[in-house]
Amino acid sequence: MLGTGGKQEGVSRVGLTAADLVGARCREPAAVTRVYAAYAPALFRFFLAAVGDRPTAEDLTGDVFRSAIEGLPGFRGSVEMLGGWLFTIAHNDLSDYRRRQARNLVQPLDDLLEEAVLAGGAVDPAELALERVEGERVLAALRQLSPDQREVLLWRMAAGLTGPEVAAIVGKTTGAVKSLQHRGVASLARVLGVTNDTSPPKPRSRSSEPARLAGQVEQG
Amino acid sequence: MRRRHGPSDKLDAALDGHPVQVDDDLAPLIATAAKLRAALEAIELDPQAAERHLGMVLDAEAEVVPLRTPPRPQASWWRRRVAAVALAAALTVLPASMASASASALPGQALYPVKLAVEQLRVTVVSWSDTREANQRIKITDSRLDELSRLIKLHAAERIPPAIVRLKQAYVDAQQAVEDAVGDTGDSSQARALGVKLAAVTAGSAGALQQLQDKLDQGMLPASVRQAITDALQHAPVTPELVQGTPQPTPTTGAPIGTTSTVPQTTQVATTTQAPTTTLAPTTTLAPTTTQVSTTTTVPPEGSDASGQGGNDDSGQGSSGEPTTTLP
Repeated sequence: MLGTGGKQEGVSRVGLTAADLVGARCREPAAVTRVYAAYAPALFRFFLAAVGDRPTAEDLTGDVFRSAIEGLPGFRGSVEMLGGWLFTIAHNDLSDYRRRQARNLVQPLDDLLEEAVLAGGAVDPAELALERVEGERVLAALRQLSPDQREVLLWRMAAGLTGPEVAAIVGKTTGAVKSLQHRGVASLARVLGVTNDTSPPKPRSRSSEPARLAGQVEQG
Repeated sequence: MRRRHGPSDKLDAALDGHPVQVDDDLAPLIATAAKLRAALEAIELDPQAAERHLGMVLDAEAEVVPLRTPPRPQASWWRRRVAAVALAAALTVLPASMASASASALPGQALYPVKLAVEQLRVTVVSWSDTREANQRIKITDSRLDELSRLIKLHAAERIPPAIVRLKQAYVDAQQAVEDAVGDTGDSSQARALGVKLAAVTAGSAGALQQLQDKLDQGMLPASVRQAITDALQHAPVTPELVQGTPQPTPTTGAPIGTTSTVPQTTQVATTTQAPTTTLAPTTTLAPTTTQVSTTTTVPPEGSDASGQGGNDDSGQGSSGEPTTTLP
């Protein structure tokens, strides 16, 4: 069952109790805060990695939280099911966001890099990209994956859900989730140059970096 | 039929933490997944954004006043109290941002539970870092001190006893957090900074409690609350550092928690508090009973474990002969 896995009955995996759920339904500040603290960090990681924009990720996180709290009086599940319910809201909100984005013109990443170069005084976009820390490079590479692959990986890695839990959220079979996950990680490994060799990965051409990164701007 | 134990199954098992046989194909995938996990774990939610989100929901409470409150099994007094106050808050006209407006709330006011909730959220958000958590808990203690001081000024005597208990509990939490942070960090400057902050709030707290004790002694407080205030001052949570006594000046030079105070202070004006029996003193202070120390207690608080004090000093300053300021 989605969201199960608590160490004891009536306690969710993230440590929320049935009393917290009841309190959050009544909007007790302390209970609402506990629910937020339990899920918001994972939701934010998920959204930021998915959309690549901190203010948007913050807004999406806040929207999910507000929707969840407003919808709690109608939520009839147990506290163990709260996470799955909340993550499903997040999945739907992300889908809505992607649809909205698909209708809007997305500024090519090359332009964004140029702006960043001007602002930061860097030499060129390739240098700017290469100077990014490893984490940013990984997240940038993540955004080159297909939306389905990316979302599956994010639920697994950012929210710590199991394969079956992810399958329930995205509406696919567990096998399909595993397949998406495998292809996604394999693609990510290729993009990042991770190999089984002990030798360092082959250096990429700097000039090819902007073009490669430009491909990560997806239309939805 | 779905193939079992294929590459995707093995990767899935590995991501779940199950033991799998790692071959040449799987190894780079696991390494990549580890990179991704590390990158994601580095993402932090801005506490201000968290506060804004919480404020959105709590602000919206005013629009959803007719909430049904189902019976709550085994709800504690405190939780019922918070719920009742929150409902009262919902019935009032609230400012645009409840979370922000709650910052100056005093115990007994409608927004006070919101203030406590926001504080707890801030602690939760920074709990990954002992140092940040310690800083946050010191801020909370400072806030409790401010509340107590304001209640004293307002002569809100009946609200003072719980405020004392909250201050003492916040102090205990802050002290523990600082000890954890000092033990965790290898950065002596951070430890020193934390110590100075804690010292400041300790001195202020002791001053406020001493002020209360003086009022008690002078009969300036209503008789109906004297006993309650006395109990709050003397009983749980036990904070020997904050028992009523002579407040100490805030050190002007930092020293890590755990610095022993066997070296007389040379940077402070020697006020030479002579062996007060109820002087503010940290659990980490080791002071001889006969030594006059300008800024620190000269008598360990009753029940303090002198033998274990000072063990957290990782700066070496305490034994170098360098003038140190013992954190009160």
